Amino acid sequence: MNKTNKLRQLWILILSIFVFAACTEAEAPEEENETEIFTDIELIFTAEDGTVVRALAEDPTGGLGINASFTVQPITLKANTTYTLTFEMLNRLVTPVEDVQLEIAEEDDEHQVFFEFTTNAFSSPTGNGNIQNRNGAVNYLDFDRNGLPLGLRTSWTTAGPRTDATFRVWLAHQPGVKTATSSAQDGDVDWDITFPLTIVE
Amino acid sequence: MVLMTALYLFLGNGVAMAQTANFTLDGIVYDAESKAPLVGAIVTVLGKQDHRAATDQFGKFSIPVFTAGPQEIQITYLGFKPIKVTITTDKQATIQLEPDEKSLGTVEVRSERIRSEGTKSLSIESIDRETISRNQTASLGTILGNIQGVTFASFGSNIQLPIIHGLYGNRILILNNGFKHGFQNWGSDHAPEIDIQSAESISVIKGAAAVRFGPDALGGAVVTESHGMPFNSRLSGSAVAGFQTNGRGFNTGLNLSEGYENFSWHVGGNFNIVGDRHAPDYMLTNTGAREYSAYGGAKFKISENLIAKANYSFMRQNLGILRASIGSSGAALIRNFEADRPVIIRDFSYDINEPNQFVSHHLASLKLDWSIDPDNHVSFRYAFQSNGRQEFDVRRNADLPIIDLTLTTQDIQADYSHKLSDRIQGIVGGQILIQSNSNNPGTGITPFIPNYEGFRVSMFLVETLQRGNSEWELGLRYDYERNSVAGRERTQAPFSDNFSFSNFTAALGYVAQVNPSTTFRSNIGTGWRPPNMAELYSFGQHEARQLFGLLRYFEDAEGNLQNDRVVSMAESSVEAEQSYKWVNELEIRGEKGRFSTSVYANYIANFIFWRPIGVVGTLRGPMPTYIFDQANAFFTGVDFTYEWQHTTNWSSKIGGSYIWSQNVERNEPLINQPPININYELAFDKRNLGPFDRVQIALQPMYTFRQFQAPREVSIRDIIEGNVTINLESEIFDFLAPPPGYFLLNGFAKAEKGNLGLSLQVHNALNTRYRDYLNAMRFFADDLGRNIQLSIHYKF
Repeated sequence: MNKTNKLRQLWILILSIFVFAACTEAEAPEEENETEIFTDIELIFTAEDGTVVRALAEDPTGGLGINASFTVQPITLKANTTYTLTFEMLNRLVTPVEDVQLEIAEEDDEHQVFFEFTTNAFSSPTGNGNIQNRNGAVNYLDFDRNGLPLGLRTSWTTAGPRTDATFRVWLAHQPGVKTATSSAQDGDVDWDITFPLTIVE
Repeated sequence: MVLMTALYLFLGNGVAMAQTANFTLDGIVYDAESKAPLVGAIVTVLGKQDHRAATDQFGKFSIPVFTAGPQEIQITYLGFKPIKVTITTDKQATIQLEPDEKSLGTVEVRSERIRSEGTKSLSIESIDRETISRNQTASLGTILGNIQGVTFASFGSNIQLPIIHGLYGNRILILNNGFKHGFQNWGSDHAPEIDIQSAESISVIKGAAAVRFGPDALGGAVVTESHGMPFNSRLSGSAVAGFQTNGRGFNTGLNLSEGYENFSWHVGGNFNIVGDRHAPDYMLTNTGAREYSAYGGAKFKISENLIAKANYSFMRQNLGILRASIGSSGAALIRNFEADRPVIIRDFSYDINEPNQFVSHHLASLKLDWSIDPDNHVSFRYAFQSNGRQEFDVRRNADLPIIDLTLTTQDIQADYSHKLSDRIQGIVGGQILIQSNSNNPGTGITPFIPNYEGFRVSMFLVETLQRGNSEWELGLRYDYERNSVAGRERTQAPFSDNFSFSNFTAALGYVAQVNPSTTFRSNIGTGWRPPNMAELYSFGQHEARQLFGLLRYFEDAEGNLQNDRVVSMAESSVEAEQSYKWVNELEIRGEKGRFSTSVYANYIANFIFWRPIGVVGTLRGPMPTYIFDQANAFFTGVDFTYEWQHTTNWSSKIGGSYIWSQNVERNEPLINQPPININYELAFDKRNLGPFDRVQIALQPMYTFRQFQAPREVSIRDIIEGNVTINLESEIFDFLAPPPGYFLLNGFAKAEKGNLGLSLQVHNALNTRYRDYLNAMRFFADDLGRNIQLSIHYKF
C-alpha cells in the first residue's frame, strides 16, 4: 500500500539520520594565531657609548595559565649616564614569533607608554614620572601622527647610585581616547610591569 | 438545520412544563489546538438559560433535560470562540473549541491550555497575549520576571535569562513553539534569541519537567506558543508602534492572519532600535540594541483528522554591552570595579561599539497532528535551527570577533497520546536531538569552547489515572547522549574526546480537587543533566576575566592548579547533575479571589557552578580568574500569589517569593541566587468609561531585599596585595558584596476605543538609584533610571 510505503520511507530516513548522527566525529577548529598576547617585554637601555642593558619580563603562557605568573629581571644602570630606552615586545606563542611592537607603531595614535619611577632616581627627567600625575616629566623621543608623545623611544639620565629603586612601565591603549591631556588612567592597559632598578657607580 | 433547531426549541418549550428531567445531554469539550480538555467551559441549552452547566476537570458536562433527542447548545469559554452545536441526549458528544486570537484570555485559561500530559501535577503559570503586547520591547527574561518564583539574571539591559526557583541557564528548557531553542545556552551573558512578540502565550513550568521534556528541563521549562492560526477566521491583524524615553527607543510591529476552511496562515515581524540607556545620574554608554524579527506559518487540514503546520521564524540582534564593564586588562578591570561611576561615560548615541554581541537565529519547523479518534492522537514534529553568534570584545583586534560560533540543531519528535480506558490516559513518545557546533576561524584566540557533535535519543511514557476527584500521574524517561568533541589546547595542539551519558528519569504526581474551589498538586521527580560544553571546556580571557571549564584544569601532586592540557572525560571526576525535586501547589479560587502558593525542595547532586578562584598575575596586569566547580546543593523555597477583587473595577494582587539555597557539601552559600522579592499591584479596569471602550490603570510597587545569603566579599585588591590567599579549598567569595535592597514603582495605563489602543508603561517611576544583585553590570554601574514607554496599537 502506498501509505505503508511512505511510512517505511520515513522510518528509513529517520533511521539513517540516527545512524549518521550517532557516528559523526567532531573536527578540531582551525588553528588560531593568538594575537592578543605578550609573552616577552624587554627593556633595552642603550648608553651613548653603545653599552646595552637589557631587562626582560617574561610570561611563557601569555597569561593563559590558571597559575600564570611572570618573571621580571632587574635593571642595572650606571650612575650619571644617559640612556635611550627602546623595547622588544614579542608573542612567542605564535609561529613565526610576532613582533607586537610593529602593530603598536602602526597604531601610534592609539598608544602611549607611561612611566613611574622612584623619585629622583634620574637627573633627567626629574620627579617620579607621569603615571600618577600625567604632567610629570618624561623625555619622549618619538611622537605619533598627531604630534602627541608615543614613548617607544625615551631618554633617561641616571642620578647617583642606589639599590632600592623601581621602574614601572605602562603601555596604554587609548583608541579614540588619546589626547594631549589623556593620562594612563584613560582607555585600557596593554601591559603594566614594575622592574626593580639598581644604579651603580 | 436552523429550522430544525427552531422546531425543537418550540416543541421543547411546549412540553417541558409537565415533565421532570429524565434525560441528559453529555459531552466533552476540548481545545481544538492542544486537544486538552477545557475545564470550566459554560454549556447552555439554547432557549433555556437555566439549563446550563460548567465542564468539570476532565472537560465533561452533563445537563439534565426534559426531552430526548437532538438539542442545540452553546458553549462559551474565555479565550475561545463561542460555538453552537446540536447534540443528542444520552450520547456523549465531543466538541472542540477554536481559540479566539482576538479575545483577552486570562492567565488561568492559558495555563490550563498547556497543562498537557506529564505536567498536570506541576505548578504552571502563564503570561497572556495582552501582557506580551503591552511589553513591546521586553525580553523573554524580563517579562517572565512578573511571575512569582521566576526572576531573571541580567548581563546589562539587553541580555536577560529567566531563573526558576534559583536555577537558570541550561537548567531551564526554553521550548520555542514546541522545540528546544538551540542556542549557545551557557554563561550568564547569552539570552535566548526569541522575539516574544511572535508568541501567543508564554508559560513557565515551575518544576522538574524532565520526564516530559528531557534533561534540559531539570529546573523547569519556559514554553512559548505561537499563533494558533484558527481555520475559518477572517483576515485580521494588529499593528503597533512605540517609543520609549530611556534609550530613545522606537519599535514597530505587524501581525496578520487569516483562516479558510482547510488552510490558514499567519505572518508578522518586529523592529526595535534603542540607543544608550541611562541610570538616574549618568549615561550607560554602549547599551543600545537593534533587533529585527520576522515569522510566519501556515496550517493545512489535509483531511478531517490530519492537520499539518509549518512555521518559520528569524531573529537578528545586535546587542551592546556597557562599555565600562570591560577593560582590556585586569588593571583596567580593577579600576572599573573600584569606580563609583562607570569609568567611561559618553554622550547619548545610537551607535553600538565593542563590547557587543551579534546573533541571528533561524527556526523552521513542521508538525503533523493525526487524530485517530477523539481520544487518540499521534503527533510528529521536526525542526531545523541555525544559530550564529559573534561576540566582540574591547581589545587590540576589536574588529575580529572573539567568539564566532555556528550551532545547528535538528529535533525530531514523535508522540502518541492515548486513552486506555475511561480512567487511564497518557502519552508515549520519543525524541532525537542532533546538535553540531563549529568555530568559525579568524578570532585570533584559542576557541573559547570547542567544536562538537552531539546526539541524544530519548523515550518517555506518562500515564494518568483518575480516581474520583483525584488524579495520579506517573512518568518514566530514558535518555542516551553521545558527544564528540574537538578543540585546541592553549598551545594550539588539537585535542579530541568522545563520551556518553545515559540516565533514567522518573516522576510521580498527584492532583486532588479537594473541593470545587481548591486544587492541590504535588509532584516528586528526579531529573538529570549532563554538563554542557561550556562547563566542561570553557577556556580563555573574555570580557576581561578568564574562565576555566571542569576539564580545563586539574590539581597536580602538590595541590597546585594546572592547565597544561585538557583532561579527558574518562580520567576526570566530572559527573552529570542529578536532581530530586518535590513541588507542592495549593490553589484556592473563590468568587472574588484566587490564592495560590507553591512550596518546593530540590536537592541537586554534582551541581555545576562557576566561581572566582583568584587573580593571576599577567604582563597585562592582574586578571580575575574563575573556574567551574561541582558540589551538592540544596534549594528550598516558597512562592505565593493572592489576587482579590475589591469591587467590579478595582482589584489587587500581591505576590512574593523566597528561596533558600546552600552548597551542602561545604556548607556555604551559593553564588548569584535570587533575593527575596515582594510585589503588589493595584489595578483599575472599567469598560465604557468616558469616550473609551475600556480603560485599565495599574500601579505596581515592589521591593527587593538585599541578598543576605551571598558569599563573603573579597576585593580584587586584597588578593593582589596578598591580604587573602585563595585556593580550591577556600570558602566561596565574590568580588563585591551584594547591593542593598531597593523599592521600585512601576505602572501602566491603557485606553481602548474601537480598533485603537493607547498604552503607557512606566518603569522605575521614582527614578530610584539601585543595583540588582543578579545583574552582572552591578559591579560597574547603577541600573536603569525612569523609563516611560508609549505605544499605539491598532487591531482589526
